Amino acid sequence: MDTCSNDVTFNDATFNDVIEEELLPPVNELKRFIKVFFKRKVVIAGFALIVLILIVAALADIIAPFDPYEQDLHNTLANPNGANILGTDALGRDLLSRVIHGTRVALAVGVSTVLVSAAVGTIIGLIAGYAEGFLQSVIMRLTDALMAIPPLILAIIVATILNVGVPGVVLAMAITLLPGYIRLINGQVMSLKQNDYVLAAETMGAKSTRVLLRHILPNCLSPLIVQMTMMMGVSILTEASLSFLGLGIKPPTAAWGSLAYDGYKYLLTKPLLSIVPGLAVMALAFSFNMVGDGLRDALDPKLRGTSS
Amino acid sequence: MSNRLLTVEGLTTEFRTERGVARAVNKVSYNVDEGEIVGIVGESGCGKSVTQLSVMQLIPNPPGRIIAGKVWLDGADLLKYKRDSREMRGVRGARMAMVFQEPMTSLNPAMTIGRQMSEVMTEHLKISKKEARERSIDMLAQVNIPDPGKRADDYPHQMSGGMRQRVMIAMAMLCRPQLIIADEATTALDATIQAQLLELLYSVVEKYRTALVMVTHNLGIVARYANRINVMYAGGIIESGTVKEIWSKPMHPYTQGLLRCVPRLGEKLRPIRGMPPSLINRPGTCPFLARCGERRENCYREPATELTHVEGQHSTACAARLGRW
Amino acid sequence: MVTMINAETNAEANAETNAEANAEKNAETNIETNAEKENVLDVVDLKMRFPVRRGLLRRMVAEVKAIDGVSFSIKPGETLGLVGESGCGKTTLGRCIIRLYKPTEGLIMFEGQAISQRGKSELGRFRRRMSMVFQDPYGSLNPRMSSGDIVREPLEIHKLVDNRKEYKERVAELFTMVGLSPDMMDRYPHEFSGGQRQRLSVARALAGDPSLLICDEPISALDVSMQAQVLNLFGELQARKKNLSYLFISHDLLAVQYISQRVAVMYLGRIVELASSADLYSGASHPYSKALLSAQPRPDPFIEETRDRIILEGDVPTPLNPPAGCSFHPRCAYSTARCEKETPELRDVASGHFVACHRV
Repeated sequence: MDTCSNDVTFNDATFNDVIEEELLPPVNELKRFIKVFFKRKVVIAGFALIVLILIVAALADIIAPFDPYEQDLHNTLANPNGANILGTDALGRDLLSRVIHGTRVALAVGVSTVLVSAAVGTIIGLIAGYAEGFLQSVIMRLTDALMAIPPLILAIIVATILNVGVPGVVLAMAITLLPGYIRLINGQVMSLKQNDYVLAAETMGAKSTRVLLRHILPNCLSPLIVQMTMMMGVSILTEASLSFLGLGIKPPTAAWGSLAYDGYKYLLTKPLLSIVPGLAVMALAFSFNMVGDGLRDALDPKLRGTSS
Repeated sequence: MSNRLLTVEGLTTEFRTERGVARAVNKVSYNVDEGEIVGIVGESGCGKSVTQLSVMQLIPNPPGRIIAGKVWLDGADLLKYKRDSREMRGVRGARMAMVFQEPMTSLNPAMTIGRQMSEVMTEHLKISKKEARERSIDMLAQVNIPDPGKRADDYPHQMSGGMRQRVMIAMAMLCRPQLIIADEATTALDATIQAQLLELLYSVVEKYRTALVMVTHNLGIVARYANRINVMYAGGIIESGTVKEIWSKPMHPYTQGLLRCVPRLGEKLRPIRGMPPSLINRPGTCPFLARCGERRENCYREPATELTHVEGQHSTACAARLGRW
Repeated sequence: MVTMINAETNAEANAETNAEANAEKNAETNIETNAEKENVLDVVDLKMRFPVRRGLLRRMVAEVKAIDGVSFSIKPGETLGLVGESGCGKTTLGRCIIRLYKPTEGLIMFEGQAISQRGKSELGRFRRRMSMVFQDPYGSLNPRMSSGDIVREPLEIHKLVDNRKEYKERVAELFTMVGLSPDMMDRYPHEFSGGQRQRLSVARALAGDPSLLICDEPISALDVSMQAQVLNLFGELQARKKNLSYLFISHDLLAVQYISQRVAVMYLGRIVELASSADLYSGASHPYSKALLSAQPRPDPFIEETRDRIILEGDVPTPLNPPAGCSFHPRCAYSTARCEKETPELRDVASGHFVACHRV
């Protein structure tokens, strides 16, 4: 570094004086996150339930006492007993095993729906929010139109038209979830764009893709994660509804919705057949909503870097 | 000889945070005489606002708590009253009032300012609605709001920032309090509007001989208006005296540093190095130690010195300057 | 499809460059007559109007004249202070110059090139030579990027270094230059104090080796002791980089006086007075400059004791509907019938002291 010859007011001695080593005491973001996240008991319960269901889904083959597809026509509609803990269905299949295997379907459909809709919705939302003007108006009005159709009816229509099993169900549900993501991300982009760091990037000559991917998208992640968690619950519910209506997962695949539908014919005599899968749907959807709530608190940007 | 109005003794307020307990106000003692203007200066986080909120018992609890100290207003021991008790509410607004930095958050956006002002009075004073409205309009006129009868029916959002802050001053003055606390009341306003408001506030408190505590980071404001000032650093008052005493003979190295931070043409700025200490787990030594250019060996060993009288009204908390070592 | 779009943008660009070439010619003659070609920045009769749109069809119902004919220049190594109250257009002016906004009319010449009407893609090199320091030390740094990455970004955008090692060296150099320890490179903005964040912001602004720094209220969000630190930093940097110029925008007159060689006072989108720092503070001529100077309390009780203040009546008018004639006349104590009709021009009243007032 060159020494400065202008010693009228400033010189290197004063300059080096100012070098600072101190930083604010570091805040452990992870620690704070965990603390806020696990503050409420319902969130802990929801989180525990999700973990439990994940384990069940992963170990379904080991845990399930029977093959969920093995029929035993001598043992149909059995009451709960030592062998069939929750009884059997009209074809003699073990209900507990079918419900256990149903977790896989529920999670797989839920996760893929959420991933597809989040990815597509985020991209569209980013474009709308960043472009503004005419393009944004068009996208947002179309989104509003999509939102005006009751989601279940929309899903039924799409699923009926596509009629291709699981991928069709995923696609149908993803479309119903799209508007939520588009609006969320569009709003985020609109507000983040006003931030000085985005302006700063523009004054540096950063290209739009850079501004979007490095400055805007990473700062959208917190609300996006919350939305995705919440939508897990919604898509599990929708999938069950579709399957219950016979439009979702087709038998014999053990999906909770179709299990409930099969059992519904025996609701008065064998209520467990529809109540157990129904409860499973409820429990999982509830858990995801609770965890989403916890995440919302823990990821609140107002709490970032603070200690209280 | 004027009478003592407010006495604060050993006031200590703590906040529970995740990292530990932060002592935002540390054994603060000061007093305000009737009709006097006292400036409280310091940088953000020094506890100047929290001190005033503690005096008013407006500290959010939890996480905040006044753990020690006494506050006497005109002989009444205020900390004996519970935060939300009838007595305390009678004191707030009626006997001492506060003007905050952001008037928009202190005004109800869904109520006309005339009604808000009348409500303050009907709550504290036994007067009719009609009388309350008349007095509100009179007060608005006194803070130079043009056409006050009409403006009383405006909603806060229909007024400019400067105008709203005038309304806040009018509201604070409604019940003729003995003490007004202005917490950075003009900081958010433009220079010319700020000047208008300060002159106004000054003339109003002069007229009614109301005591005024000005909390600000702006040394210019206290230099112009205050009789005495208290300099706060890291939760404590480190120097106190009349304005002229402080400016002509600053004693604490922090006060000296602060005065040197003000840009003057042709003089090189000599900023204070580093930054203020954390308020959690305070070591008990002088809080300015790490940034002090004149620390001595004893400063590291001995506990922090309390504010000690020097001469006249001047006192300081610097042990070295007090000649202790 | 793609080629069509390209053709279109090219045509647009051509039209723009033509217009610019004309403007440039005019300006060049202007500048040459003034013999000030060596200026780092020349702003000539700049105007910026924002349309106010209402209703379903987004019809334009009014126009805000945020900047209404501003001209000035900055020499290499010079600091020009720009003071005024909120709504006077000083921030908009800064943003026009750095081309966050495209000015409605007028010319901006930077390092001898007209940049006022260029499109985003044609600003390449100049984006490196001019940079900005923002007011809010919390909002101007991306919370999801490490401090090192933040300072590195301009280097990346302009491909100023080739490999990782060089990046690191350059960033470390920039950290040291603004008085931060290079060890802090991996830390995130929320771990820095306000003053330190503003240093980071300055380091980022310096990364492209700029000739002009636009500082938009760089110290107003800081505490007194931090303000002094950052002000000193600006002074030190200029002392080391002889040709670094600043446009220092602030409402703090004392800070502006301290850091600037010349100061421009803005009111409702116009410069009402422009003079050397010393001239302005000892002998402001425009009634508004006088009032503004007078409004700022001096941090010295011995001065304040005897100092009289000019207290302006009323609020700043909105730029949506500025008063006719001299826009200051409704608040001015000396206004005459002429002030209500005729807008005063900025004139040189004493060598280099410009005032826009009929009385002077």
